[in-house]
Amino acid sequence: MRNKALLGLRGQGEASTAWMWQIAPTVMLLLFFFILPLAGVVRTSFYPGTRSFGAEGFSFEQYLKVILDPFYRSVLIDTIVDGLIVSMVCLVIGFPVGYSLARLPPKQRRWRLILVILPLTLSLVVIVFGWIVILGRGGLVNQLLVSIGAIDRPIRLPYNRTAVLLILVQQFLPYMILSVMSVCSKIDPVLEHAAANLRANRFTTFRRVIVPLAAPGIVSGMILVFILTVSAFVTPRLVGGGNVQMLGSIIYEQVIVALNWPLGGALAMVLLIVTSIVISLANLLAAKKFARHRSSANAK
Amino acid sequence: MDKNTAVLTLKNLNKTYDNTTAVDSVSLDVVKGELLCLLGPSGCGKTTTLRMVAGFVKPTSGSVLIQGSDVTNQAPYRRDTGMVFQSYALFPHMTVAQNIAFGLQNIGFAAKAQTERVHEMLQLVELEHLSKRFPAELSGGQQQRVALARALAMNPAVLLLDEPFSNLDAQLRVRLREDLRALLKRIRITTLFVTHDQEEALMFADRVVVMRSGRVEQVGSPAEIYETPATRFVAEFIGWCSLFEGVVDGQGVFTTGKSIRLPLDHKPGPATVIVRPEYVKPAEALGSGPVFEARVTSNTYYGALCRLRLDVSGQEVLMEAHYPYGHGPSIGDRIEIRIDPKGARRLPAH
Amino acid sequence: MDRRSFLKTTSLTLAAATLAAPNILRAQAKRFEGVTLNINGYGGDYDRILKESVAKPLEDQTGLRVVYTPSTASAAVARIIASPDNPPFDLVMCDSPNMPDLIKAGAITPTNLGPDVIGRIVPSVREFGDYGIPMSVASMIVTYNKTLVKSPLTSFIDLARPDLEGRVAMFNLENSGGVLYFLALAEAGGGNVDNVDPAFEALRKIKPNITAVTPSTVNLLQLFEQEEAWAGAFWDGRVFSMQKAGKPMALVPPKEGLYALRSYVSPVKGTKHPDAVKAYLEQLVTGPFITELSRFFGYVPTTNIQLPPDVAASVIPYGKGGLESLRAINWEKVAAYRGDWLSRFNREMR
Repeated sequence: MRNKALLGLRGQGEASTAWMWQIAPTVMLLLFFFILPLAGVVRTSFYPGTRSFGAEGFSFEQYLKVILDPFYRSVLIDTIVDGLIVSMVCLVIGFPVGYSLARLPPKQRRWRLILVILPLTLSLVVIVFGWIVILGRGGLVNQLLVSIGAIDRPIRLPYNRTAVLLILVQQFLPYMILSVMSVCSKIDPVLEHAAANLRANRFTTFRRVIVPLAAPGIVSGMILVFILTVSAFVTPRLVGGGNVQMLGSIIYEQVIVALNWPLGGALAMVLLIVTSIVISLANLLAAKKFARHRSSANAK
Repeated sequence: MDKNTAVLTLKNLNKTYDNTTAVDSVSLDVVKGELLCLLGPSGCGKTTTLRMVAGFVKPTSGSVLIQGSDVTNQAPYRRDTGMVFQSYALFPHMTVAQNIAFGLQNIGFAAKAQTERVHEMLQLVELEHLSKRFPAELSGGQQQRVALARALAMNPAVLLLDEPFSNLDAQLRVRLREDLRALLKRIRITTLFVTHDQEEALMFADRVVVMRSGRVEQVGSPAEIYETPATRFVAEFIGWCSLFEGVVDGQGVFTTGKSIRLPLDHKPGPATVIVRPEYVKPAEALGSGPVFEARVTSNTYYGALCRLRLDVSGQEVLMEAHYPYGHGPSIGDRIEIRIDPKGARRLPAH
Repeated sequence: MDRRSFLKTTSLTLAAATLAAPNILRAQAKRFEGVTLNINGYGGDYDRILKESVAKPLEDQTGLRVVYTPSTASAAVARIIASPDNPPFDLVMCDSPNMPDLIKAGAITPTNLGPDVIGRIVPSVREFGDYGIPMSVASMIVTYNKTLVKSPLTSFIDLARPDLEGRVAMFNLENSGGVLYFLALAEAGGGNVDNVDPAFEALRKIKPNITAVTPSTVNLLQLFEQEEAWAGAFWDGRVFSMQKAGKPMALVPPKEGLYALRSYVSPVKGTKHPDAVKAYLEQLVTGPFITELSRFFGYVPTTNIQLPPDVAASVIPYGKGGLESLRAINWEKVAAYRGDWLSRFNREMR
């Protein structure tokens, strides 16, 4: 839409610079809050040594350190895999919830939506410690497992990868639910009737009508959860118990604790680049499959 | 009507939401190849009835039979119905051909049979050249035809049409109605169709079911519905008419007190009489019948004819007349009219 | 998460002396009317005691307002270093490990207090010359649950004992507490700050016993309180308050020696209110703050103040020599090496 409006203006001579003024605030905002800080991180990552204040020169030292070290490599791979797992699990749990919310009348949707969003308003640290209590030996989960006889005595539940991923799923699920809900509420429910009338059972309707039409929301939800997961640092540090390493917490340690901003910057840049690649691939895949209907749907 | 040939039967169908009754004891038979129309104002229960046939709404009581078997509790996707939705409900992410093939895949058509059937259907609705298009790239009329082809491809026992012409502009609507009727008749498919447009119902249907507040008011051929409405509601809902309240005296003459006198030859007693406007003519245009003096209160020009509202001593009379060369009367003019007594219908007493 | 937050709140009554501000101070009242000092906060009871025994009396006497913004100390340090032209704080509170970077970056200035004030501070506590006023000392000690661990532990390396399998919890090197036991293990094994291989050697022996390492004080506290962990290395103050709350936790000064860090408050370079900053520091050293800190946390006072007998009886026993027995730590080198230690710790303890 915007592009068309811009093209339309181009012929009118006088108004030809108007669009510059229109987008100026956005550009300034991006420049000030995104581009400039990012440029700072890029510059920092090319300093030699371990401190950025008073540092001079230009060096690939940090990047070599990151790339050549098998530890960072394996943590990077773990982090990406964690991102994929969490976004998949969020999708599996979040889709039915988001979809059913979209199909509720607005009045009934409202308080359920509040329940979904509520966890986002809580401090992450509070949530994490809450989980540690729940998962602890005297916690709810252990008590439950013992009382139903699944285990003889309480077992250690937190401080491993499963616990970290579980808590990440809980944290990021609302984003998936909201993303799926917003796209599903745009799918005309009559299409489901049409599918049923054409002898499609629930599963076929879901697979061939709902999922393709919800694809943009699914993709954006998964990308969102993926980004949030690969950049998570509080949860892996507090729940991982040292056994779970994720790049976010390593960057946090280098930047905040060790004040080694050049190395932290390089790690952050590597994470940014790898994440961008994964997201581009996901977009490309989605675009290939759904591009045509999306363009035609937009024309409607 | 022969029960054995009924493709679709509704028995005492009821639907209540909370405390409102949407559909109230509707019973119907639709025979093979028949075009049956459910007609009524919005909220009369016609769409709910259609949706109960398709299975999207579960009846509170009563039953739906398709080809003799009770499908009342069957899931929509097991029912042998094909529906064309008001919004057409084409799948936006599928091409025309994919839309039509969708149902075929669900009932296990092999790939080759699918292609053939899709092609056949596209031929039927004359859209072969658009098979690779997406719905958003089609006009409203084309979308309607795709929706029809998609439903017909399944060769359903009953075709359900939900206000199929309401999303089309007026000119297109008339032409498509004729085309569609011809097509449905040609393939002899049993069709249940819903509309609020009485003109559409009259020209499209074999039989019309007029509904009001969830109940069936009258069932009959278009001519029966129009010429001999069973109730005042039907009379007023279908077309234009003058409505006279009065009594029939011992000589079989109907009078409304001071103004209207019509020889009816009916049983004596109070009566409600309707007269369609085409049975009211300027005095000089009709050879016989009582003459009334009337004052023109409005005159709407429709080209081939004019619709006039007339005041006959305080009684409103509607007239449809042809005035050649645009020489119709003006508001306030006094004219003489005749009412054709053969065109006067006495409504059954209730 | 800061180690001083989340402490159980207990009532604190201020010494009557503080409430009755000397008349002589009233004379120069409202010297800093309208001035506000911004300081990062540690959160919890530490901030409360600061407010009650430093900020409140100052405000009463001089009109100076002090605002504490709780955050992690290292985040506050990072912010100060990142914005040298427009520092977010007038004073910064942080621990020994952050001081070398603040000094090297030129982000803090020497305290410039008179000898009458500086002279009160225990000399061995001042690690950075004129930089920073040490408010309190926190040491890493060995702790264990006396009901669950039968034979007493006496050193950090005892945590490698086979009977503690899966029952040991401690900080990782992200928390400065981790650096303390880490240096203790290095030096006890014949290494030093430049050669920490012996520390990693010892950690390899302890590793099978470790249930979790964490950067969070609250998390470690939880581990001991939930009896997820039976033994480990922890802050003296935290063990002290667990004991007061009735937990059977032992507080053992380790055989490796007492390794401690100090919490400093330092003037940030570029503050607009150097006089107010000076007044704040003087109040902190000479006022009731040090006493109240000892009363609440059991910390050994960093000044030569005479504690009331009841408080003196309850401070954490440091054994012979008191603060003089603390091992000297080269924090400059720790700061330089810490990033590498973190990486190596993360990969070896994973």
